[in-house]
Amino acid sequence: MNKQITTDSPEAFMEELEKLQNALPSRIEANPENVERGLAKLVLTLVELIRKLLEKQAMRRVTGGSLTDEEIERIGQTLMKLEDKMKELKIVFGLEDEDLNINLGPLGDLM
Amino acid sequence: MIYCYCIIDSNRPLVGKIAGLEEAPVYNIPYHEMGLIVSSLKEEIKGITEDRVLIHERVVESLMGNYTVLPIRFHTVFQNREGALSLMRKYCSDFKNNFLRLRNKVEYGIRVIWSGDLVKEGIARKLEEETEQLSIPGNTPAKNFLKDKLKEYRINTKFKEEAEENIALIDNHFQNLAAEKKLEKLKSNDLLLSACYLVEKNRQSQFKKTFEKFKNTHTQLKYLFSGPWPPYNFIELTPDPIHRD
Repeated sequence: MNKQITTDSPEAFMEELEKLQNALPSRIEANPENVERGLAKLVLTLVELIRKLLEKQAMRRVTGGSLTDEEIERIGQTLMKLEDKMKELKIVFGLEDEDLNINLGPLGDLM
Repeated sequence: MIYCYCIIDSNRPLVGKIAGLEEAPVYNIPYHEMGLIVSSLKEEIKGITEDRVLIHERVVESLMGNYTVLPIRFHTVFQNREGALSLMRKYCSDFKNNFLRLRNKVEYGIRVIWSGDLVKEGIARKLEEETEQLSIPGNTPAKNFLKDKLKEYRINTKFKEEAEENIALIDNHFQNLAAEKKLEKLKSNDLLLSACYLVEKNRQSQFKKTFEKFKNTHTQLKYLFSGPWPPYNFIELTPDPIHRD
């Protein structure tokens, strides 16, 4: 059987595949030298997941139109502070946005 | 050391010579009505290299034409023949079921790239007027933050809807030609679809022609088409199967 691999845009596909490979390290880094960073990465990934879920839920409530002006203000403040705090923690542990993800194997990526 | 390549639906010796890893001959260890395709190696191979992976792949592909193959993961080794047979005993029932499902079928891959950023820009323009109307009243830092988030949320929601519509359009052309399919959607902003289709060997030509036709009529997308492959993505194993003799 003659196998074929054809594309008119090899560079674009190479770039995408490289991006996907580089985005997710296959395991949590945990050794004596960087155990703190490895652990922080795991914890912050979970915090980021929860933050995004909260944000999504807030957007649904805002678009639902059932919130008072005061409630909108409070939600805005909460989300803003959460995002600022996450930025701080990422700087402290030297992590980038793309570090905060976990590959769940056949289930795909966490986020 | 027994190095395993794949399982085939025949317990007979292979016809012709096939060279495997370290140039070792490839042969069939029969088990009931199937066979485990292996090479005997003098010592364990160390490290994954491109050459070794390609040799493993070539062995599996060379058998695809004459048999139904169930590929085995690269670097699956056993100390001896008895160890290798334990794999067959453990998954015998699963292998039989897979042979029934996958007989005379091969896998094709279709990957599609769109311009995610351009799609988002288009959505943002369309939503601008509507977003103005639905905007949050007030001008505090918290409300401005929420306005930006809301805009981002609306764009992302619409972006996912447009992706689903495009994926459905693509998949509609191929799903009827395939026995099974696996779709991975939006693995990145630009990688719209990564699809695997399980295709009957006698429908391959039709599948390829359909792809060519689709590609030529939907030129705004970029495509990568590959196959036929062994059915890597369609083998199903139960997590804790029963041992059989």
